[in-house]
Amino acid sequence: MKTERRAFRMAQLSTRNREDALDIVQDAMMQLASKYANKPADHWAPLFYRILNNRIMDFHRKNSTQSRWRVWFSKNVGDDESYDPIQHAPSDDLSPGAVADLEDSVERIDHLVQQLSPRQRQAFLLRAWEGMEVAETAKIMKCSQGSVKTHYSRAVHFLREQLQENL
Amino acid sequence: MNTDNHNGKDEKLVSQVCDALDNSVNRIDAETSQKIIAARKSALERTPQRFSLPKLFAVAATALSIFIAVIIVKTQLNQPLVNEDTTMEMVASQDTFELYEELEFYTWLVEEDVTS
Repeated sequence: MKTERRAFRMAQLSTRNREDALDIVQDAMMQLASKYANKPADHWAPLFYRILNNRIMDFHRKNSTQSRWRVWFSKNVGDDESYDPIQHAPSDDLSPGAVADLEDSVERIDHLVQQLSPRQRQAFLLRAWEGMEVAETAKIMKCSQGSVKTHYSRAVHFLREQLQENL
Repeated sequence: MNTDNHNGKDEKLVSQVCDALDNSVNRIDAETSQKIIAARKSALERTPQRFSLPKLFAVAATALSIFIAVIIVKTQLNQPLVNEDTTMEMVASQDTFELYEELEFYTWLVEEDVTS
């Protein structure tokens, strides 16, 4: 049960939406159960995280395609105002000023992890939170071990800078 | 030395972030937890069931019967309709062939004998 809850939080940090996160986790569990139930038990966790991360990346891809269409349509409607990606980004109901005032460290860190790029967030959560090896993380993220190290290092750098600013 | 200090700081930072994330897992509300449990349950229900022993025996017995039936049918199909020895005797016996060729003549001869 712990794995699913952590997976839900990973998905929620990426999607910033509870329902989308639940859909992603459910989908990942369904695929694991229907396709990989006969695999040895020690293969389940890496397989589950690989499916979960694929679903999260699919979600980002779908969203970025939708954003591109939105930009294209807004340009064609004749709107002179340029598209503001910040304004159109999924809202987490927090203004920049409110973020600095957050007293709860959990929410503050949550917000910072959400600000990481999807790949940096994946690398950080898998390496730091799930305690996976670089090789295993690379396999899940379908990239080289060097890329994992780069994404992870950038994530830590960003978090360090932001936390020093906010603390 | 600097690198070591950075690593130490980073470890502290990483552990701080991970603690916060662990806390956030513990703070998942009851409704969401119920939905996660339900999702897990429905995923487990979809798990393909493995073969039980009686089912396995039934499948094996059926496969064996089909195999035996195929072997029997194949053996019967390969068996020649006329015995090879008989065929050889017929081919070798030139007289018999001549008899068949002049059957009409012999028939006529017999009929003539009877009438005379």
